Amino acid sequence: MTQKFRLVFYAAVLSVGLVLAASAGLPGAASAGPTLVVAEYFPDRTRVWEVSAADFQSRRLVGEIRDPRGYGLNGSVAPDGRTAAYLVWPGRNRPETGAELWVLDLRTGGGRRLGADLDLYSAPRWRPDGQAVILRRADYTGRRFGLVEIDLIGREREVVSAQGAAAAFPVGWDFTGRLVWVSIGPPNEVRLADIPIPLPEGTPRDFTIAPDGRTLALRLTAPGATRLLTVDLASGRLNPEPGEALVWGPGPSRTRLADGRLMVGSDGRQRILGIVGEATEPLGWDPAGRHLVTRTVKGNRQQLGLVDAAGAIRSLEFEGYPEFWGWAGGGS
Amino acid sequence: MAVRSFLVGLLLGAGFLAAWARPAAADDCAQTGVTDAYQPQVAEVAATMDQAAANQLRFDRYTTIPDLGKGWPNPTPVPGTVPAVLLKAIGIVESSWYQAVYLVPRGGFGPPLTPSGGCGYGVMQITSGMTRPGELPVDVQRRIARDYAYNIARGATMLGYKWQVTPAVGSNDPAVPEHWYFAVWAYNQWTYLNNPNNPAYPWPRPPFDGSQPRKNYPYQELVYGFANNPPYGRWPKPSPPLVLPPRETVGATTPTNAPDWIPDPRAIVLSAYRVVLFAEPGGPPAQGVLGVTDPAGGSVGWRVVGKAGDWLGYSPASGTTPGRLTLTASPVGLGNGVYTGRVDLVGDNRPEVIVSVAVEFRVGPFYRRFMPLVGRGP
Repeated sequence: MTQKFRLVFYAAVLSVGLVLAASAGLPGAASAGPTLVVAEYFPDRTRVWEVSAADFQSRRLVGEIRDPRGYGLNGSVAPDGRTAAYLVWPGRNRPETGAELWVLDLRTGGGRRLGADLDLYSAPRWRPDGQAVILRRADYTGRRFGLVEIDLIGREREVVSAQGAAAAFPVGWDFTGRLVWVSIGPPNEVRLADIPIPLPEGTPRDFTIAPDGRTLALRLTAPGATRLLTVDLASGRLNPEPGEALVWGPGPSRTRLADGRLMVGSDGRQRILGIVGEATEPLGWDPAGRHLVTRTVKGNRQQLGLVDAAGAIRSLEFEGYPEFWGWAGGGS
Repeated sequence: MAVRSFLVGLLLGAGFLAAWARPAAADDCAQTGVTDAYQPQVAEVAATMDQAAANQLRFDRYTTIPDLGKGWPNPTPVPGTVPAVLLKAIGIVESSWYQAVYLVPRGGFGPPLTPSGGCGYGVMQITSGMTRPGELPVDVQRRIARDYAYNIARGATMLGYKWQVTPAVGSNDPAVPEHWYFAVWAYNQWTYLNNPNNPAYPWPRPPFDGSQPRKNYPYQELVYGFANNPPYGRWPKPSPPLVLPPRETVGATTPTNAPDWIPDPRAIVLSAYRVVLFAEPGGPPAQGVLGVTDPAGGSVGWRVVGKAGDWLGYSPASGTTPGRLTLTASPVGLGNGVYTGRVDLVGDNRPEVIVSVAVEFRVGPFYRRFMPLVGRGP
């Protein structure tokens, strides 16, 4: 027993040391210009990187987060690009009920826990002022979903309680400050606070609100086809959109994926940004509108890429499985 | 920093010892009091999985797979078995084949593996009947917590029960791992969480093989992914690999609106599996047209391999996906009545999987007003 005690104690000290070392951040190369925040997944840990858009070799390891159950982290970068919020499941309860919310200072790598007992499968959505994130508490069996806002000192407020839905997803805030969320039914609805906007048949997914908060874009998956739809958040009107995927930007434009081509434009004028193929989809422009992050599924891997404003495409190489969390400060 | 690490480590270590001394956190659940669960060797788990899948363990009624329905739409009972490859893969997803907490070495004894704050026990993370004392007989709860073989047999039995209450796939054959898609889904939880179209999971996503974040996949995709990619080569890779149904066929299942049946994902897909044709006695023949596609979206050869019903014809006899098959029902020589027939097809990619379309032919003067009706399922 004495030997077992020692082993257990040393293991505990070692694990805590590793966590503290990771949370304190590790030194790396400084980067200039816009930088992507990328989570590189391994089955027992995730590394968070800042990668220079100008030079992929210029990378800084922000932190390494233990993930003993291998579920991966769900993260996103704050609007000011200085902080990332992420959910991790440490193994308590189940992934959809036992995830913890942490914030990560992208400059120092310091981490802080803000909440627990959350749903790992709902990525944190930042309030536009960057002072809070909205997440989900899920009870799939009881068909009860709570959308909770948690601020940066860990204060929590339930803003929506959805009963009887198959699922509910927080999306963001519209131009009047109303919370936009999606209820999966049937019926499937976009909700502007309490106002329902029924959606056509199919499963809505990939919800994004335009930077001005006036339009919501989503994809609708139905047998035989996936189509794009926008919702005018002022009138509630639904509009079909050409293409298979959409991201907002650069600037006031929209970028669509159509037949393997990235099309950029606004007011009906379109130009081809680049030909990427149908397995690639756009994820997001940097705030200055110079670089667009894409993801491509190839075999059993996902690859991130960067398309510049002239349409040149470059791939980011990672040893682990990369996921894009957003743009760090310096991008504007 | 070193002092901080030491102090936190000290606290963590003390906490762990307290947990060790107090059997297990999950004893707030079934109160089993078990502290001496055996941590099985990998080979022991593999052999036990095979026995449990074949329903050879049967310690008691809690560990005996019930008879299962085979066939669709009129299943008949067959002795209960589950595919061993799926049982093994479920064990990997649930516990990586550990019965006791991970710190207990294989061959050793210790508290049963349970999630902190949860009531799942052991290799198969059995939760049903383990959330409070007396939910199952005390002895059963203790064996689930302590005995890995009993735990695995209980998991196989639970999976068998899921077969009975979830939608059918293809010919609904318990020997076909792909036909357990919904049962595996339900082993975790029969809710929208595991719908492959749940917006929580990215699409497109690469097939799971153990190297991707698990958060991006519904439970059954983790299981089939591990089944195809056995960790450390713990079992032979299935050949051909197991396939998942196209997510379109699962649709918006929540699952209160789940379909009764979906097509076999291994085979070519027809636009309908039940066709109703109408004609008048002595009148012109009735026709119906079916689409024939490959669920993977590819170009696959197909051919008709059999039919039932002398009045029933088809054209062409073979083709390539995507293609069309025309069915013709002739009322010549038939009196008023309802006749049933069938056309069997196979795809060249999986010629052992027969896909059938059931044809109902209604002959009578009344039916001349009606166009052929085409049903979705058999």
